Amino acid sequence: MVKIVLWSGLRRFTDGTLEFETAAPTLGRAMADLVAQYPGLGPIFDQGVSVAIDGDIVPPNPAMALPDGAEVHFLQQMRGG
Amino acid sequence: MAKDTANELRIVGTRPDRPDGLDKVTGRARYGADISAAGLLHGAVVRSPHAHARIVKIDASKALALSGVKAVVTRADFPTGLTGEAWDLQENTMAGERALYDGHAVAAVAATSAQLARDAAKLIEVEYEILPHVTDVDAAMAPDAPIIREGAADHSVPEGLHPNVVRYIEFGHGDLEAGFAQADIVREHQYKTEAAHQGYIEPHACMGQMGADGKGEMWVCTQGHWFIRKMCTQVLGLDASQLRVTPSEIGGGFGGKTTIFMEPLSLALSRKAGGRPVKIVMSRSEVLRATGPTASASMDVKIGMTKDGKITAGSATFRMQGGAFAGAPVDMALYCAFAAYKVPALQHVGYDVLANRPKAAAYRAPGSPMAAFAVESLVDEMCTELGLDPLEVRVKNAAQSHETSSFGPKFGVIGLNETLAATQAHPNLSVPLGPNQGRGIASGFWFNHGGDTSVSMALGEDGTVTVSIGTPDIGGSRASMAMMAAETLQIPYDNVRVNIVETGALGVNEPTHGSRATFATGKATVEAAQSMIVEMCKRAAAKWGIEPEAVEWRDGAAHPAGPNAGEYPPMTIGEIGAAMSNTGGPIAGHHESVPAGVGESFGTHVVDVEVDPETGRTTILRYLVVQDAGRAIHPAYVEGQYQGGAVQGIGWALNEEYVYDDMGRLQNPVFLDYRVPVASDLPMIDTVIVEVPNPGHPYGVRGVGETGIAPPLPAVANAVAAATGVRMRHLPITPSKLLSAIKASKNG
Amino acid sequence: MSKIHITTKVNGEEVEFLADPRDTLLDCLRDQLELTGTKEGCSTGDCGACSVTVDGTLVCSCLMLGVEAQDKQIETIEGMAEDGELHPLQRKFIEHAALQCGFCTPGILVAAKALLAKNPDPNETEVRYWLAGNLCRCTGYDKIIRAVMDAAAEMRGAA
Ligand code: FES
Ligand code: FES
Repeated sequence: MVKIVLWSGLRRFTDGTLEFETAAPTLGRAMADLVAQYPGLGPIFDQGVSVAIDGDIVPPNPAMALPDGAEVHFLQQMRGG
Repeated sequence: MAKDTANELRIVGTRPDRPDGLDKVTGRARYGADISAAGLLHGAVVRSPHAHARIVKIDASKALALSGVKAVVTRADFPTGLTGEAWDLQENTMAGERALYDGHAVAAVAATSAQLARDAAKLIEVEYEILPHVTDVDAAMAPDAPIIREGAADHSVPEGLHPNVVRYIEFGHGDLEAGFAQADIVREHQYKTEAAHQGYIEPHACMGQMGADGKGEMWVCTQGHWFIRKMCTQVLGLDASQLRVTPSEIGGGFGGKTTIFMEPLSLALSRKAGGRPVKIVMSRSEVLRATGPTASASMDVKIGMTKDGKITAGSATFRMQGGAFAGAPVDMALYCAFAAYKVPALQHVGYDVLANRPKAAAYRAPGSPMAAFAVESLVDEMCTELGLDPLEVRVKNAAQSHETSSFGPKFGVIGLNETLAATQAHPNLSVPLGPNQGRGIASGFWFNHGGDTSVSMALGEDGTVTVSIGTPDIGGSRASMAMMAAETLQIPYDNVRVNIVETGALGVNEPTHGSRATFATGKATVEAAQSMIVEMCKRAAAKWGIEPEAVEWRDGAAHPAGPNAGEYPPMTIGEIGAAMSNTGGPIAGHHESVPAGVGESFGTHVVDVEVDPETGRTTILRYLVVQDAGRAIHPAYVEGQYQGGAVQGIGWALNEEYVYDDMGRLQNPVFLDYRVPVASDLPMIDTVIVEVPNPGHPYGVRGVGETGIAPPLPAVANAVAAATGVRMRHLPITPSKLLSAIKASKNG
Repeated sequence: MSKIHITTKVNGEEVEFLADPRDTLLDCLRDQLELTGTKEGCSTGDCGACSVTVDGTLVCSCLMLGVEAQDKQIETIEGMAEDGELHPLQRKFIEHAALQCGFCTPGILVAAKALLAKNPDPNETEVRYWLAGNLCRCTGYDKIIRAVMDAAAEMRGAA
């Protein structure tokens, strides 16, 4: 299982829940499952997010495998300098 | 994995001369404005003198009547139907229905000389209908504020906010109420910073050429030529691959040259002028009026602290305006705000707000300096109130490796403890202070960045090596790449040449931004070298008739790996290069990726100031930068980043600000009035390079460019408070502001 | 506007060019004589990127008209290395990493050379005040000041 953590500003789209467990094998599947459950997240994800997998901030590649036991944090899209 | 000890490194950590040094001390290096071409035309831009106005009519007939004027473009020459960020870029390149800020481009002209182009620009008549404007962030959120653009808000913005609020950020963790309840004191204040400009000494300059077939060329000073290519072609509705962009040397960027301003205008003018090349060089006042400063900020911070200095809870509400478009770095500011602390309960709220000012561009650790100013000032105030040592309080609450960060995910390996310990040990902290003098301490943080990266490397016939990279060299990065390539290949530094190549020569590269060049391009350079080593070992194996796995690379040569592989004399990189035509052809290595394993960097600064009680002028007496570099490839250029960042921060703290009048016109668009620090304002800037290697980079690099601009803002304000007893919560701390604050405190 | 014919000496060589009366000396150096080593950072005399010497005096070439250059002796960055040999200041700038982007460097080198001609043994404060008209946004000046002092020491030793 993989733990997904959303930022607290998304509470209003997810009936207040911010942490999820998922068995999705990839990041893309995990995101699609979330959107299926909470359609309000669709436009947010489409607009772009940043993802930290076990602390490593990476581009949200949908094909990325989620290792068992990983902690995946979604962050509002980071913009560099 | 990071190498365990510095001992086994031969080149990394030394200080060789930079490869482009000779060109840059002799005036030979070619920057943006230094190019010319046959048939060259010069462009000039007509800019709005109004903060907000409807463009009623543009009449260019008088300009076009001048002999030598070849083309005029307005928004009518651009494609329609763009959306999102592409529309923002197009609108900022050239105003459409309305001019949105003082300096917004409304037309452009190309002529046979620069003088003529400027004359012609003055003859272009623009009729405006002036509209109400707003430039202050808090005023722009007020219910009666003029609406800058309806419908500009994205999905993040909850209902009921002013239409000028275009993005909303909220995140946090823990039980805030409970956290504040555990504190012995809870304090809350508002802090403000003004917009500052990156202030690179080289104004934007480009030469663009484009034919009717939509194929074009561009020479431009930029931090990232693939960004230029993507943005120019989006704005002009062209195919990305049909534009070839070659970067010039770049005279500073600091984030401000990661986007487009007048570059598409040179292409549009060229196309209209029959494909003649058009050069546009901005004046300093154009740079200040129309290119990216950073955001201005209004910030509320609340912190709870126990008597012994433990932080129990914190909240930050930041409002930032980044001009007439979304993109103020309020999100990054919030991510950085409490990053140096381990706090059980935190709440972050942010508003990205439109105002009638130029479109903000990135500036060195975007958002982090403002956040540091607010949080590190309040922490300092509370330390003073409780009689605690500010450095010990920072140690006590320091964020730790592998523990949850203030912004959510766990940190990897970070070097904050080591940075604070090195600060505590530094002799500057025990220098006694005199009257009217004070010492200020503050920390800062930046994430650093990976990003699209593509590098290739080729072996020459004589065993020397060419590295092609896509990140422009702003501060000596050619040297760092050559060092990492030479270290990996185990050949002399001088046998490597690093070229920054045009957009046709590599896969897409993100700019030199986010402190990523030494990390990301460096990592890709090492990977490319390793793939070249594999090929070179293969060539040796074939010659020797053994398996490639039985060959190892050492001292710049292929060797049989151990006695079982057979007895062969080593084959040097020179021998392999000389023979390559007959052993399978050219040898090259390349690497493309978005590198993971970015390493965050913390820094702590200590500044001693003296305030003249008669004039309110603050003088920097002593300055110390301590920062974790992961590993310094070329320590002199790391020190240079620390010193340069610190001084930019000092400027932001003491002098620099955008000043607008009642009409929304920028009042200080020249260096005389927009005053950046000069040599006589400053002492030497002491540096300590802390090295806690980043496990995500082959040599442990973190990226060092940005963190250093964040701590100076609060460190200077804290030092001023220590010197005067007066707390300045609104930057810059100009002599007149400080003097009146000192007077007010005496009368109060 | 009709142009004016100017004859002058740049880096010891006699040159001619046609100047628009509104062109600055900086424009003429860069555009007419293709000496692009001298940089424009502001055109208002505030940044020093355009520093050259005219008859031995340090000036901002953006504040002087091209037509004023008639019969002068002008020295620019391009003339600083002699016979392919770098001036000690140039060498020390590379050695001390006193440049990052390098855009301010030509102006600072020309200004520093003018300082050392006047005062071969300046202290740190004197160097800082002399160079106060030359903006550098990258380095924070630390390594620039060290490079100038070190070059001065070497030149004194060599003299
Ligand atoms: S360009 Fe002459 S002083 Fe700046
Ligand atoms: S080195 Fe960039 S301005 Fe001085």
